[in-house]
Amino acid sequence: MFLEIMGSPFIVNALIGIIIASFVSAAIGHILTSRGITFLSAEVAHAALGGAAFGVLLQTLGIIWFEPLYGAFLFGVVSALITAYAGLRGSREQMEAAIGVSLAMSMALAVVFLGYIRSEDMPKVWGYLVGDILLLTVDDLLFLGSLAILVGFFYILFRRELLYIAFDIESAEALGIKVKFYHYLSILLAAIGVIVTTKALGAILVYAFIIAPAAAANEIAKKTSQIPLITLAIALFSGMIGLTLTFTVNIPASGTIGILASIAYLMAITYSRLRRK
Amino acid sequence: MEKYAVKIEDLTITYDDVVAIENVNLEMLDGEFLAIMGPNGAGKTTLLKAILGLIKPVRGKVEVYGYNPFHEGDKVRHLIGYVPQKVMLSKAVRLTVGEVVLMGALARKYPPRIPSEKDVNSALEALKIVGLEEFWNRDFLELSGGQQRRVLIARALVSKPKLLLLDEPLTGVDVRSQAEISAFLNELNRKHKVSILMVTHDLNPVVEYVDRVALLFRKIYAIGTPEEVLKEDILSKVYGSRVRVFAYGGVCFAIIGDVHR
Repeated sequence: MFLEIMGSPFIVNALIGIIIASFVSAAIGHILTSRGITFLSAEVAHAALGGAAFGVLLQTLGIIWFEPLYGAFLFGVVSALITAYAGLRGSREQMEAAIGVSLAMSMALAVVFLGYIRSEDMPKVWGYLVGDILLLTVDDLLFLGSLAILVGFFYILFRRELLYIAFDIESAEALGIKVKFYHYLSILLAAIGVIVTTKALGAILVYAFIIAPAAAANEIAKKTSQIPLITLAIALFSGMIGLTLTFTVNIPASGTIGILASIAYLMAITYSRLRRK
Repeated sequence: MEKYAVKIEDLTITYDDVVAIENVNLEMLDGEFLAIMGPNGAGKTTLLKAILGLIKPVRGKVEVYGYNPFHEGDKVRHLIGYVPQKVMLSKAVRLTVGEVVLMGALARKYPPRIPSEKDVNSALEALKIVGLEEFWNRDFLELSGGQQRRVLIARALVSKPKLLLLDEPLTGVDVRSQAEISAFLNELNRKHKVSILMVTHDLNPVVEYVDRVALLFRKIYAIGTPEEVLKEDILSKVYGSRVRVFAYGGVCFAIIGDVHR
């Protein structure tokens, strides 16, 4: 019975979704924790929610081809680029303020759009808030997988530049690294990654799934190169166990995954403190 | 061979119409150890950024070994090693000492900037110069302030620069480390023939090592040997009346803003 359930198409899709989101978490969790702007993930996730509401509204108005996922992508990226522009001079404080304003604006837009959406279309939007990992379609996976490959490729290619501008932007510039380009690239990659994860897990839990594993890895890794690998392991573990628990104990997948990722972080900081004593 | 490491003529730089430095003229000889001294907001870091080619001057010109750093950045970057203020470093990024020093070599390569054996050897050699070759795998953030400065100097030395620019390298470092770093910079200058331009608000730790001092407060108020510049009437033009100068062992020391009775 258990094996039958686990072999069903929607579970297989959910597992693939978890794997995609875990790889994304490994890349962008590292970028966001390194740059100290972890709340960008919450901002972009909520912008994606507003964008999804916009997409549903357009479909209601007859523009059928405009999928809510496109709206989520558009709003998430634009919102992140506004934040990147605000923090162009490398100021974390300026970016934090922009993150707060963009988050508020995204939520406000979402509320406005929701006011015009038919009640039967509401679940399409709420899926972005609480996640619909069990409802991922093959088309969704192809789209999310393509974005994840894009994020992974650029992360691997430019990992050092992204770390250098996070660590010491002034010296990076003095050494000839195009800091403005990599600043925008890092925010853009993070935004795309967050949108992928939001579609799978929902805006509320995206922070837990992206940031908690990376923050935990940051505590226990001995070398920088270990951080994405440990992040990937924690995200995969949380995702797989969370999904399994959903069918054995009958609790919501997204919530379980978020709780497990958060527990991993608590264990990591405890281990880190004990190790330093 | 170029006589001047740095040559600045009539340099003026503004930030949104606020003048940071104006009409600065400065000639630094190849092989010289020059300190730029001045209070907070004097334009010291701005001057360094102009030498690095990171700021476009409103007026005037800068040359580093005959090259314009703003237009010939690639050529100038190979000649300069830069040590930033420590406060500019992020504590959110976990890097080992080796990774920090390698940054000096890898930043000059193309993505994905994979370190070669030669890069690693250069980084180890630079760490050896600063006396921290055993620290390769240590977490940079867990080092003391003085050790972190040495690592940043090692990073700047990886590319074997002819000119080393240091922005407040002794700030926030304990007195013993200040003395060690100062003596090390002197050795670097005399033994390894590296020209050093160091920005500082406190000259005392390096006063016995520098060849010349330039007193900057938006413009150059004085330039010369420490004995020529460290005079109460000259320093008070920039620092106000709370300046005292003492001679000890034939060396002048300035006490600024902290008068002991």
